[in-house]
Amino acid sequence: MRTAWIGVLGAVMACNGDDGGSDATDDTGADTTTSPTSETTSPPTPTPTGPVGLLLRTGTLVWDGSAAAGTESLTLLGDSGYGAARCTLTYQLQSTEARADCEGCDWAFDLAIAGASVALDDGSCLATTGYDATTVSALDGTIVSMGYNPDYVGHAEVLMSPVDGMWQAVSYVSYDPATGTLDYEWEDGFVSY
Amino acid sequence: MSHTKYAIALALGTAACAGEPAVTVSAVDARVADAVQTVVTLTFETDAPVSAAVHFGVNGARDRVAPPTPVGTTHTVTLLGLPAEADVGWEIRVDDAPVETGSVRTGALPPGIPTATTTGPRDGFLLTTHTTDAGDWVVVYDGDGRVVWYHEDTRGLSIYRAHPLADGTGIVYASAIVRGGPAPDSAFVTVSWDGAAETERPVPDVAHDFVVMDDGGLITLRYETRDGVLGNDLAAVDADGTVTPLWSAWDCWDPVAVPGDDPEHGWTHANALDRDPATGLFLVGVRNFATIAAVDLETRQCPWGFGGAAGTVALTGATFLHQHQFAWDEGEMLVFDNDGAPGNASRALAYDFDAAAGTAAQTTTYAPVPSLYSFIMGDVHRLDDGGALALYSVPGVILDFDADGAERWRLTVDEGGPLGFVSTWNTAYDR
Repeated sequence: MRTAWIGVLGAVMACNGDDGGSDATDDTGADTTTSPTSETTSPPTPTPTGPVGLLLRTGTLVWDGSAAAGTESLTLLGDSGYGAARCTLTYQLQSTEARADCEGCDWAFDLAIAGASVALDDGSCLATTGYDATTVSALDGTIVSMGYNPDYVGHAEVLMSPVDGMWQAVSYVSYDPATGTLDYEWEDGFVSY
Repeated sequence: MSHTKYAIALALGTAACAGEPAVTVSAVDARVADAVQTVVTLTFETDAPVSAAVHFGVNGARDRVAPPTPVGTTHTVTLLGLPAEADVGWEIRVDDAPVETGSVRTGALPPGIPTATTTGPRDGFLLTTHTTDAGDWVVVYDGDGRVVWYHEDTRGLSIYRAHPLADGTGIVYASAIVRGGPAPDSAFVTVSWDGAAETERPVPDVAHDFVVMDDGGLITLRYETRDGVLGNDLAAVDADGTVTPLWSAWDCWDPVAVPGDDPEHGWTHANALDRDPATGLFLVGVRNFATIAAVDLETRQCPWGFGGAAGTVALTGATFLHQHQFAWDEGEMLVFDNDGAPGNASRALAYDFDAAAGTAAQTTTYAPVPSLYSFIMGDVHRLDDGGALALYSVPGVILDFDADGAERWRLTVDEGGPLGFVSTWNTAYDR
């Protein structure tokens, strides 16, 4: 899903700092993609400018047999992920088109972001997610892509999303087939704040 | 099957060794293994007890050498590291003097095997596993990405780790894990190089990783459940399959005090294991703590933890999350970091690590451009020339970085991932 969250993550990559890696491989560019399945590029690696937090995505999707809808929150947890939330963006997801090209998926969709808002901001949101209350609505209409694979080669149920244009397992999920409810919690890496 | 029979009795090769008796070689037989068409078994007899060496290669070369045979009159040599459908020339030497030569052609690869492509040549070999819905394979690739050894497992469980046997006669791998958790029918499987001999040691609930001890015994991660909490332990597995528990995660941590961050997938979710020969410590990668824990099997305690929720080492620089394999050696810790980098990126991190002082400073990041991401699995090794090798499981890519962190070689499995762990060999006979 990280790749698919182009609008969010593109801005995140453009704005936040890495957690201090002195990369020998001079990464350049940012996750600034413009289509749901478009290519990603390497994250930037600026000099860390502050304490390190963990970006965490928490989402729920409900699949009704023909469409999927749900919500997702993008939260910055302070103190390397062990501290309190410092920033939270929330938004709804609504499928716009079924995807048939996700191998192994029971279902997969393009989904549109709507109703994006800032639920919490101690001043770190813009630097770490690329958005604050004045800009978060720019996420609305962004298309992301996700699929559910119930049995990814011994590693159980996973979320699938395009990475470099190819569907790839990107996170564990839990799924209730009785209700069609899929829950995920996906760490999105360490960032300076 | 290709089969070349030689009934030649020659008295050669001793002219260069004045005064030594001539050796007659007979009953020479070069045979491609039925089960592994890239392995050749060369048998021959000598009329005097000697140790013989076989030099061999493809395309007319004799650039490889198998370990010398024990002193005797009946000799068997297994030629390894050969690509499929290749003309293999061989030369038997006694006291480094050639006494017989011949050639044989390897067979074709079976269908379904995970083939690979590379960005160029590379010395050495890579042992890894490939586990998909289409099949589970143990594979050795050469530096050109050619499959030089293979074995398909049909037990239906995942295969993440394979090691050479301590006695050099083949491979041992774990068939384990179903739907991300313990499998009661997991087992260690031993396969000879020629694939003719396969034995199984059932060990329930084997987890991701194990190590082979010098005496041939195994130390393995297993799943362990207490009061409904899914943790891990370490156990010894003897040659006869006897299992002896050695350590438990409960020896070092309390699930209440250190709960882990992904309870859907167990308390600890230990996913990597190594042994440091210098200290005798075992190192356990605890994914859900983002910690690499040193385990002392004598005291059943954890003298230090590297990173994460159970960390005791003071780290500076980049940190890792949900790491997979690591490598600790000579003041350095390498870590494959699945989730610590921002965005769609996994990476390998190098740290200067002073275990006695309990301090570590991150020095180098190994990451391709553009980035690759593997939310599970992954492996990293320090290479002899100061470079590093990193395996990205999900995309099915193995990368070789130079000492400065620049990518210099890449192997891509054509079918994609996931791959298991990887071992590097300088020659087909390294162990």
